Amino acid sequence: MIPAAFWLIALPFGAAPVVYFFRRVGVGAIVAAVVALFSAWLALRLPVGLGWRILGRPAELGPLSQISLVLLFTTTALLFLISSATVPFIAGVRKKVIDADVLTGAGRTFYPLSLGSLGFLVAASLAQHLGITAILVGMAGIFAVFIIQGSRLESIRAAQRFLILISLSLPLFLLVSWRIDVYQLSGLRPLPRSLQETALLAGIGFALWLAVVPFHGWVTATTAEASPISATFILVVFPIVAFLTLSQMLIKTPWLVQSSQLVWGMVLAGLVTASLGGFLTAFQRGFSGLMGYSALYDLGCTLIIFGLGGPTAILMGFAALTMRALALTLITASVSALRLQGTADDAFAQMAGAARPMPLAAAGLLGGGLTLAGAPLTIGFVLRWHLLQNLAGFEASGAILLALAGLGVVIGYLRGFRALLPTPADKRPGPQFQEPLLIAVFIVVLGGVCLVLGLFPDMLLAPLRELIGGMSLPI
Amino acid sequence: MPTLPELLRQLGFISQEAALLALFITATIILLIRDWRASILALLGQYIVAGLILSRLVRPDIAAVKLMIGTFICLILFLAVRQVTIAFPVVSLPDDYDLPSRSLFVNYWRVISIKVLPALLGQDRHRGLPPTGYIFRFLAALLMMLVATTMSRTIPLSSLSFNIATAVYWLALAGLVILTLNEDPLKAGLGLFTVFTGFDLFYTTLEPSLLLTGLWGTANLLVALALSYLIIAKGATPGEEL
Repeated sequence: MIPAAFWLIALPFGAAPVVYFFRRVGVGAIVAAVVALFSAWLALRLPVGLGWRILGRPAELGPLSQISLVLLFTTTALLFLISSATVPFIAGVRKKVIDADVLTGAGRTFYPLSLGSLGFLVAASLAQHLGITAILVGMAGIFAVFIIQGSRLESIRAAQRFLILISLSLPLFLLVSWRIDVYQLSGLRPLPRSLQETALLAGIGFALWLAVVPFHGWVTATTAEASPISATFILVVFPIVAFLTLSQMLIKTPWLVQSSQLVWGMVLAGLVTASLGGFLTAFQRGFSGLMGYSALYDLGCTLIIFGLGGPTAILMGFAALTMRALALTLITASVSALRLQGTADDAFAQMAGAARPMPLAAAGLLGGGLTLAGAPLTIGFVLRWHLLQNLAGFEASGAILLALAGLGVVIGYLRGFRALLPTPADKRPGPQFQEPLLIAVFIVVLGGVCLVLGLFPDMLLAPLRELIGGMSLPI
Repeated sequence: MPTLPELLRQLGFISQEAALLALFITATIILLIRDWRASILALLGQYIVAGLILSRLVRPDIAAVKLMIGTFICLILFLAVRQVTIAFPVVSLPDDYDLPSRSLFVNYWRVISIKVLPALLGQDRHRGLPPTGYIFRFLAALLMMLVATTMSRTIPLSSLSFNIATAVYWLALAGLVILTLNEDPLKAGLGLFTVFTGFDLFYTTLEPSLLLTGLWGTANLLVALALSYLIIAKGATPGEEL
């Protein structure tokens, strides 16, 4: 009998050819969004803990996989809807002025390719064998290369970096997986040297997946070159699966945590990544740069949460991933709307005065950025405050550095918002357009969710706590 | 007609030292030479030598499958670059190239330096100029050989002899150097596959699971397909549609 969780893999793969067939009309995006939303609902409804086999290896829809899959599917559905909301606007109003692919940038193949990539990521989330998970993530990454590149011919830097870094991680994970298998089959405790080697290999592998400095090139290049929607897809879905794999690996192989270097390495790597991302966000001159470096800052913060461990690490880590998905989707909706002003370049100077016709998009951009930074009144504040408290107990100077990096993110987004404000001398040439209605609705809803969750964080934390149960990292 | 495993077995007279030397040469060619045909041929040679080594360490049919995957990868890359060079056989002269105003000698020299030499060295517009000189890359190759030899003594790989451990380290290090020194998708891809070949020499002897071996081979082929897409995207002009 086919296990119910199998449909979570089959649905995206099955829908991809249908969506590809309808890619030139709006129906394709709607079908893709409906499939993703239905899959999210299905993932939430399926019973957890039932084991089955995928390619002959154990697979299971555990509590963490369930949360991850709901996040993956919901974010993807939102991105499909945002993309579909901008295309009719361009096609209807400005058909002869701007190529839709340049502005939304996602290209017609974004929907089927994203579904294909999602299918592999779902399979990776369900697989309980690290080697299989790594290869499936690698295959999803190969699909993502086409998503990042889209139909652009100017540069292949982002897609190439992503492909190479994701591919280089595969041998490392396969070696770690082999070592884990050997230890588990023999039942012997690994020798200290062997433990350190395994931790080192796993550490480098996760550093490649999580864009830890100096392997962060693919994050910033992706936001710089790919469309905001494609970039957000990559920046949200891959880290979710990476953190899920990291959590599952640490829970299943608690002896790995005996390597003090691994725990120290996670905190240090997270701190360096967050600091670099935060400080460089303050100096960006374009919205894609803001998005890339602030996403890097957020990745570093989440890595520190997992590295510090404790009984609430999983809860706060997955809450941070939810916040990341919310904030980046809000920023994407806002930037996608702003780009409809007619410039493919999203430099501050090019967008000057855009807040006058598009006040909601400007506010959404600021709201998303402040949420990532952890500003008060947003859901980001609750999570960052908790992180800073924990980090201060571990290393006080690290907490100060992280707070300053967060300030850098705030400064960066305030600079971007200021650039959007109209000035007395502002005379933008040509017609000015308001946000498409659907995009405006998305911005208001997503911004509202960030604020409401900031005021009432238990609305997010309580259901997550219920799903996670008593699971905790052995750190 | 002998099968591929039988063919690999017949090549058993080639010693491990000779195979290691061959791998030193093939990866150095990929690192040094800019010509795409020579580079892809060197990668193919690398896969053949790696298959030969593997045929003595694991089941010959697995080694044969690895060799076939390598051949397919080379074929995919070859077709991609060929597609670009046929569609755009360019080493075009600059717009301001003004033949009549120069002396005959200067004109010949400019034609040779702009058209002939770059074509020989593979410095066409699809791959651009190398960021480092030949001497630098050769010295880097020598340094990596030294490091690989040292590493195989200080950090021996379980179940592998000194020569094969050196080959594993050499291929991984040389591949990483190629990746670091090249932005071009073909050269970067060749570097990536050099790393993968080194990893294969080690991993195939360790992992008994055919499923993982098969999935790893599939991932290799998919990486080659994605790289070929990027090679074509880089070589195409704005009028093209991907």
